Amino acid sequence: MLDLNKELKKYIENVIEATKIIMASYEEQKSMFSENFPIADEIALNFSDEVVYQVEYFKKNNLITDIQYQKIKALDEKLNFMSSDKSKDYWSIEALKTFNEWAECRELAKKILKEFIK
Amino acid sequence: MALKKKAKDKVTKKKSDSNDSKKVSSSDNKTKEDSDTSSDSNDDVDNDLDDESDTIDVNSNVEYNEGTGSDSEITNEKKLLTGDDWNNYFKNTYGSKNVQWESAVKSMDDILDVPSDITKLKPQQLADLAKKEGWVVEPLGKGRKAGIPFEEGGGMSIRKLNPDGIPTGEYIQYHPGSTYHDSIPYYKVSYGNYKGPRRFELGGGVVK
Repeated sequence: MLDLNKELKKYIENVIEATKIIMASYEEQKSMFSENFPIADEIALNFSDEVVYQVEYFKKNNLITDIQYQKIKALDEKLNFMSSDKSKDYWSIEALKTFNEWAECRELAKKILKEFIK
Repeated sequence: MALKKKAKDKVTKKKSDSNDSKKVSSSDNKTKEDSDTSSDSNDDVDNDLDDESDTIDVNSNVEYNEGTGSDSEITNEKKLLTGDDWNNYFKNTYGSKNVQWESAVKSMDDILDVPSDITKLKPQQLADLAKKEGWVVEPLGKGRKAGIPFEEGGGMSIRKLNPDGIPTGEYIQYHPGSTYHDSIPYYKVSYGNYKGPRRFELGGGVVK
């Protein structure tokens, strides 16, 4: 028997943790990981693995609100676009520091946190 | 010759089926001959095998001579053999298709219990074990390697599903790193009992 409340609590912790990493400044992000680590990749993957992959389940069971769901999907779509667009290298450490797309990701992450931390 | 003698000592016939399956073990297949020969040299062999793996299965119809190797052929010279040496030796002897190394990690749940054990597996071994146990193995979903199959140089996102097909939230990831960005390959293990995922270099070091 699944304990939905326990699962939801754990999921929300994951949402907050993963979203904070995306929202962090470049300097903070760099300090979170070891040297020679694919930091930009890992930041996006971490959000995908910890948050996006289970979001449909929690939405389907009405454990998160429509707005929470939409905010998560907005950031997910942005990261998907960056992953599929091969015209620019979004995944270098420089990109994390200077690209507008990452600045937009930080803004989207801020909106997610606003919905989950009240 | 000494190498052949040592290897022979480790081989016992397995009578589990009619296919002459042979099993080589570093820990539990002690033959009488083991106790009759120099224990020092056998200990060396055991340690070397442990470096690579605990056991191997040799499923073949090749023949081997259980009684060959006279005492005069055995030297007291000790030579350190690596896991690669043994791998090459068995593959040359029995054919590469007939040698399969078993790892010390027996199940995916072993990795969830002790995440650092993932470094005992090579990425291909991890993929094989995950598929065998019904975990979902997919290319990475985001980043530079997104959508690139493991077989083509991409990574792996490996997820556990419950009996209803719903993700349990437990997952394992392999990222191949990037030579372009000079970044290292790594594993990541996420399990509910731990706060946040854990990351490991393939060689065994923990990365934050």
